[in-house]
Amino acid sequence: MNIFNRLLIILLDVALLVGAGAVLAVALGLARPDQLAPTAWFAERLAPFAQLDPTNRGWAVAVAVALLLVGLLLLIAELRPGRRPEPRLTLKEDGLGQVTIGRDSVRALVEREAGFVEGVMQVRAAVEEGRQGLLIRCRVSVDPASSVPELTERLQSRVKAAVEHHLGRPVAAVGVEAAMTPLVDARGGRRVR
Amino acid sequence: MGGTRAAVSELVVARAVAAAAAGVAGVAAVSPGRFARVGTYGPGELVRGVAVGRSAGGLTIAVHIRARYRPSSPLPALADRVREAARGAVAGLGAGPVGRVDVAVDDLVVEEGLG
Repeated sequence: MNIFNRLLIILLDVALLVGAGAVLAVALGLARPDQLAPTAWFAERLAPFAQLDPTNRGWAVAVAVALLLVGLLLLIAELRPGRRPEPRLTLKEDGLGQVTIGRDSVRALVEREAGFVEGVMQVRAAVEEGRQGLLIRCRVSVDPASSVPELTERLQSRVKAAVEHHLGRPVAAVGVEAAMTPLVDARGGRRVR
Repeated sequence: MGGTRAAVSELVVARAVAAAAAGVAGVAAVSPGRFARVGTYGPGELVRGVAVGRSAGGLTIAVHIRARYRPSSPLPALADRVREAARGAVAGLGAGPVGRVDVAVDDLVVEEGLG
């Protein structure tokens, strides 16, 4: 929703809250119409609510409370900040425009490439931007029969080459944390074998 | 008639750009956006994945795509082809000068057998 529509809804909602609140206060006898109304016109609209019989007063109070609740919920919904934008990496920016990619897509690419390395059973990656280039971290679960130093070297070079070629951004570091046990955490990790 | 140019709506531009981008080799689809909807609104219609605006420099266009993951095709080169296609589509409509064309890769589509 654009900002104009949002402002319009907030203004109408505030008007609803003020109106319903004034009706409630007058119907309950908490205030007189002339105390609440900034103009004679508004006081005249409120005056009937000060003279209601008990049945109609009950209805007026119930409707005003319902409108207040709806108005409050709407106001909270409109004032709540929107979802944070997806973190993105800029691949290129020139006079013709900008090229970006979602960080999740880069992470998926890293996990896919790491998964092709012999001996990698499961992988979970994270990608961040550093001053010298992208910083990639891979947590991998490895085949106990494999040589971890060799596997790590193959993984680092494969991931670095793939990311640099595919994204056109330098990779400053590929950190690898290898374990013989399956990865267990909230996100699990990509199982490749 | 030289020098006159019929106004082309943002919606028409968005439609043409979406079709052009979808036809670029390496583009799996035009993406509606991952976390926020991206599109150009018109009367009773929404073109998803392409946002068209106007600025002092001309039309500004943002195209969101899902790219095919092809190790032989780097993404910046793919984005260049999308930008060229978008500019070509706008030129074909005679919709006036184009300023920025931003390309956002929302997703990589991996085809089986690659690797």
